[in-house]
Amino acid sequence: MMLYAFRMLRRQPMRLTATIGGMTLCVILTLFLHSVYEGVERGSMSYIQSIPADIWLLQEGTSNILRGTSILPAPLEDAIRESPGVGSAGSLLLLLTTLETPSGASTVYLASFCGDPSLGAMPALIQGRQISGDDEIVLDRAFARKNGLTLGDRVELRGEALRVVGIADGTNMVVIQYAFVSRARARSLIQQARIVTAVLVRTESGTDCLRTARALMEEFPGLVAYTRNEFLANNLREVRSGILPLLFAVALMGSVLLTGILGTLLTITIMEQKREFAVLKTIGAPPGFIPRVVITQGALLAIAGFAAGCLTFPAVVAAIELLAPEVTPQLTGAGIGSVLMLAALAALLGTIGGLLRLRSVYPQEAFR
Amino acid sequence: MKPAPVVQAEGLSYSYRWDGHAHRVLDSVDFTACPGELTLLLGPSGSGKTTLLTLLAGLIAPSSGTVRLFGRSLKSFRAAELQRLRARSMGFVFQTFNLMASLRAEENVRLSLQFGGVSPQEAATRARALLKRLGIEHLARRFPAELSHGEQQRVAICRAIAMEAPLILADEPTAALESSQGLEIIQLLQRRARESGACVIVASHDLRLRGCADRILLLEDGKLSRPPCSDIAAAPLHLIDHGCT
Repeated sequence: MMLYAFRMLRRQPMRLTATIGGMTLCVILTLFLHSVYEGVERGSMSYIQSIPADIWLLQEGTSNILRGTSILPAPLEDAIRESPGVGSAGSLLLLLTTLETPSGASTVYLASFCGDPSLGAMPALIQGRQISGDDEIVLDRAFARKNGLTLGDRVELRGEALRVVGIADGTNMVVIQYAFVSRARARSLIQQARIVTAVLVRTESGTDCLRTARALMEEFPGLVAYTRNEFLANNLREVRSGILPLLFAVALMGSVLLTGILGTLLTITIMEQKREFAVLKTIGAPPGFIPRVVITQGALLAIAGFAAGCLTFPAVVAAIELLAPEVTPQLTGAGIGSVLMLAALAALLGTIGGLLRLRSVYPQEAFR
Repeated sequence: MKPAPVVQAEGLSYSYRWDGHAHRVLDSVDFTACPGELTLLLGPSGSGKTTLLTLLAGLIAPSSGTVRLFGRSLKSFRAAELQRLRARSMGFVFQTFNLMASLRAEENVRLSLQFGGVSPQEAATRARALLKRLGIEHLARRFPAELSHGEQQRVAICRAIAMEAPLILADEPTAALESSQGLEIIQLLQRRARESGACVIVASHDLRLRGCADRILLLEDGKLSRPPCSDIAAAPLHLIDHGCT
């Protein structure tokens, strides 16, 4: 029966190609959306996750650094360092600004870290070295590629030339990328030497982080303190609430398209084979035979489309990364699994549409 | 002793409504068909021959009257029983052959056997043997599109007789064939009736087939009549055409 179902599809090679092609495109689209979502989430979180701070202190009312503004007085860092349970401290100043590159102006999320090096708030590099002077900058890999920048190139920040000394990975938030400069250079932008965005704390070993965070909030009114897990969860929530609905809407459209294509083509196939199905009914095909043929056809199309989509996806990703380096799709097993489920659901719904058409196949049509 | 009839039609009428009017296709048709006989149902296009065959196959229900197959009224069959009856006890031959285009000749025959409950392995063996018996084993691997009309109809007959069905219904089996091929096909069906005792009912408008028929029924405007000639095979065409009046 499988052979029969397959040969029936193969009889119309153009349509078979178009169907599998349509399925493949839809699978690529949904895989792409999933991987972009993963990429955005991972890119947005990886820098924050790489910082081993036990406690993050921000201005009261701010829960994250992705979509929140926090302004803290810089001397607070020293005061916090002296608090009970605090092992070491550092501060992060984050500013949205524009870099002048040879290819034009580009916005970056400028970060400058100052404090205990064990807090590790410098990015992971794939090329070059960390900054050691005020006229140096470390750029994100995608930002550098997008703007055609390499080590030794120069960019301008408010008229001041900065030399690219390092290329970082894990600092691409898709919509914007991190860039790293010295604290003095960052402060020169805002003409304000006495503020930071966040104070990072490593607690003394054996100290309860949650208790220390609560104690710091009591000691320093106007501050909010989050443990590492709380802070990561806050930022993740921001990423998801900002991008997920959009991606979900597009994924939904892709799924509807997938279902529509499969349903329509199965229905057309059934309508074209109406007479053949009528003959099968006349010569005594068992009740489940024809539905099984249609279901097999739906499954074959879905499997072929899914496999073709998965096989061609790496090439599509490579092309996308070439055209838009900041888009870094990340495909996970869970992503592939969910697209497989989606393709199966589309196949099921499309097949149901086809099966409903079978009701209009009358065996006496075999005699016409 | 005369064998029990395979088909008994009593007061069989069929009409449908179209455009607010009732159209009568068959009107009080009575006839019987026995094992070992080839019954030729003659009539012009639109006389109701195909409708009569679909009624006999249980594919549509009569407006009135009854059809008995193997002594049992079709009304008493449930849908699943009817399907089994068609798969195991009926063979069908169509005007346009109606082979499954995506299956090879042998696979077409095999499919019919499998519908009749034969295992795939046995079906393959029987299908090959049957094609050989009809002298077309060399066509076994070909798809219908690769066969001539005559060859397609031979494969279709193989499919129809594969289950050794005691009832074969053939609708205009020669209409799409050249006359020599048509004669071969009707002789095949006739041999089937004689050798295996099958009841073969052939609906056709081709008067030249009368020589192969054991009985001839004339159907015109949904009404049946029998030519009163004793030797119908020898009867002149114009007599049959006009009911031997």
